[in-house]
Amino acid sequence: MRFSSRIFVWKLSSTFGISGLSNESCFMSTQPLCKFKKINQIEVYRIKSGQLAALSECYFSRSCYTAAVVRPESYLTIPGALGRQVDSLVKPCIDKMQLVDFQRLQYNLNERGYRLNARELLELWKNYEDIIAEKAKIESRRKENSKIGKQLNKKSGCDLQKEFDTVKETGIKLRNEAKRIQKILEEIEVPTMMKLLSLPNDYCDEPFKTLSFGEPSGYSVSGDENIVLALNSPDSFHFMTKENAFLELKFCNKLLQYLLNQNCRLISPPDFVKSAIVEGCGIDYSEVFTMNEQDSSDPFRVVGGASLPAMCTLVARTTLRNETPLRFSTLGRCYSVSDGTNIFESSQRTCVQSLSLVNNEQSSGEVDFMVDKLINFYSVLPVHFRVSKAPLSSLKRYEKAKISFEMYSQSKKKYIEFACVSNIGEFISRRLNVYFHPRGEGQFVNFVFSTCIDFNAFVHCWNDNGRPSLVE
Amino acid sequence: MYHAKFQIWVGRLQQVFPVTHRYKCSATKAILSDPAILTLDVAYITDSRNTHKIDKLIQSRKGKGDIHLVQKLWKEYNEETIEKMKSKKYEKFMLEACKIPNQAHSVLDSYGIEPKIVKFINDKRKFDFQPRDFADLCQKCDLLKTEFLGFLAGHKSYIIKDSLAELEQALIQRTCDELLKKGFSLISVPDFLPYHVIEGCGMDIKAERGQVYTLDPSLHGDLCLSGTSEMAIAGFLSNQVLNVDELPLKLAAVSRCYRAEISSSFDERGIYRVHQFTKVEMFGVTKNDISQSEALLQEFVDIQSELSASYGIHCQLLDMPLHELGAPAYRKFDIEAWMPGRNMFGEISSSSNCTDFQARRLNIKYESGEDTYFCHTVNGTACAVPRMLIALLETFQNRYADTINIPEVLWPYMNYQKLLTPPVFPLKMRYIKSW
Repeated sequence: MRFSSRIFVWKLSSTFGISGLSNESCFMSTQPLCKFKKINQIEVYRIKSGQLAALSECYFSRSCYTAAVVRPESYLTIPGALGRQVDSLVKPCIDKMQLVDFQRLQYNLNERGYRLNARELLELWKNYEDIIAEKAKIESRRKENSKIGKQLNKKSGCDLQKEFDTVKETGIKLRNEAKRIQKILEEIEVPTMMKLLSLPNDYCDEPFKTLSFGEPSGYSVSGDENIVLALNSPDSFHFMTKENAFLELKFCNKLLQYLLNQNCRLISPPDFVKSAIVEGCGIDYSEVFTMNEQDSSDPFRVVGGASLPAMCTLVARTTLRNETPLRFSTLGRCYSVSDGTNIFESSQRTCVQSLSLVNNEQSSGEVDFMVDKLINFYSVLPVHFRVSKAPLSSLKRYEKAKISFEMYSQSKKKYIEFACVSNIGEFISRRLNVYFHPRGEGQFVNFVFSTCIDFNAFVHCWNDNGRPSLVE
Repeated sequence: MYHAKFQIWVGRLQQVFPVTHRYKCSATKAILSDPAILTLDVAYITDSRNTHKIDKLIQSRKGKGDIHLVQKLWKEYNEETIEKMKSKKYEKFMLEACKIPNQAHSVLDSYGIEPKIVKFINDKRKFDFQPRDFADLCQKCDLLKTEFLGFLAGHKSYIIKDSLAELEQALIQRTCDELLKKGFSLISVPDFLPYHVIEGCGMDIKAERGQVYTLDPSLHGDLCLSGTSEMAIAGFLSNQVLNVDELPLKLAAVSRCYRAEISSSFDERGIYRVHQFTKVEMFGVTKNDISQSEALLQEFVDIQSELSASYGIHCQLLDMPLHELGAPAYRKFDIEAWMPGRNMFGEISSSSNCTDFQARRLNIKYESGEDTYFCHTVNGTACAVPRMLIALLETFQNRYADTINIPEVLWPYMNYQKLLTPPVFPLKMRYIKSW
């Protein structure tokens, strides 16, 4: 097991049901555990003495099995001392600046519907920092003490014995103090980091004036012609035939060619990614498909090549030396769990996506650039759409701000988003270690991610508005 | 301005695709939710005059199925008098009967174990230098990323970049354009399918679990990742009764294909055999007439040959022997392209006539007059991207410059670019090996 996890030690009865909850504790596993079985979707591992750090001998009994029930809370590693003990894929770097203005943070959390108290988080973080500082102080004093001891060693004389004893006593006190502090640190480090990693991105105050293009069609609803529901439980998928399938092939390719002419570089990423990549993008596992891998505690996630996590596999854990902005585009499938029966809610969507890598100063300009380019592309079509800034409450965890392109659906009587440009800032690069060269604090790459078209949403609105002729 | 050239003629589309079946999105009924009604050719399987022939077929085709057991179970079922036991015996019989492979074309009896070379397509290019292999070419031109990707995205992952990714799109677009000219209709299919659709196409999920990716059943039910869009298209047609005037029906789909099979063979290194790739597939449905389905198979083979020939790569068309046929196939043709960097032929496409094997399992029928009959289905690869890329790059590489010639037929799809070259501004990204 190569990630830090909350491990709850329970005793199992001889019939292998879970009975009696032992102390709920947090341990680190530094060796692979032998998988026992799955009980109620929870993985149970048989553990032996020494496999879990600081596990008391008293947990082991011959009369019943002792098991560690592992519920990984995070596949991202934990920074700090504990993180160095495990083999990690990425090492997320917490954005401490977010905690400085806790009123802004609380507003952000409230608007996005997070039930977290910013002040408590700030205190948690301060407590953690105080302990780190105290630990550093003690280590410094230990080094000093050790230095004194070495100097005394070099001198000779019997009147030094008292001093030796003092140094020794101080050394023992400091060592015990260091052990105590280390234990406290280990107890609070994981929950503190978990809470901080669960925070959403900051938000952007910049205003954006809503723009409207084209005339509403006034067309009466026709429904989704030639779109067939394939599956709807537990996840929904669709077939598209005739003009819809043709449009999917040609329209998306035309948009892609347009983007390539705007200095985008085409890539074709993989469809499977590791959990750390999904989590590094701030995406919940419940939103993605999980492979059936019985023997693995870190199964692959199926996200589709045209998705943010897939595109991040190009840049995760890298230092970048190119000049920015650096733009990548891809055309393909994007998969996300959904049981909505409408085509625009399908679990499988065909998308053209674009990922721009920029520095801090360029990120706002890059958002404007991508918005302009998409407006230029869509405004020549005889379709009505609007471009507006999405409210904070609708943003995903990784988004700082989003400019949304929406068409009106006659049948659903609402605007449906078919494209968007998201300012992500450093959120993902901090978690997936994407740096400018030379690597260091303040050298994180900023991301701007654009869904240039979500074809499923577009085709629904196009069908719904009488299928206007897309002729120049 | 680029958008000045952008045109899609919807009106013309409506002439090209006359409306015969108009489907509306139904919130109530998902067409793949329920398994299709299974109707095997019981009379043929249980006829003792066919036992020897079927047994010989099973032996030639990797030995799946037991005709003696099937006929024994049929006898027991007929002799059973208790209703409850009778239905259990019928279920057992059907489970075994499903394993019996399709019949095969009589000409295959004479082939032995080697395929018959039907013809060669294009001449083999003569090199006056040692041709490099695909991985080398991509490394020189910085067109493919495979290093340090396994940790992030799994074994055999790859990222195609820049002009190679543009070539991938060009292949897909051109293939689809050629198929549309030949009367195919495009269909966009799901890449996730329930077990019963995959089994209905003749793939035994349990036995061949190593080839099929499945999703976590506790979260996603019995969903699998589709290995080819043939399965999804067949699923689309399941439980349908087509109009005889629509036949032969020709459908084409571009889809992402997922295959779990692994290979440690040196010949299959790199992206030759990967777990995820894009493919353009042809699928046809004909009447219940072997001459019609054979004619459609020949049409598919001709299309594949034409496409391969147009790219200028040297290929061989093979009529496959019995032991190379999957359970559903009555006859199969493969096209193998010469890959000079590997010094071998590699399969780039395959076409099979499945007669009524899939149609019986997925209940695909047509009506003629007052009666309904099972269809025949035919499928074929129009373009499997990774292997086509290997064949193209290795065939058209140049000796001195780090460039690869692009076949002329693809120029219009590549903005009239004639060469694959390294990017003007190479990506300078360094993986952080240690913290």
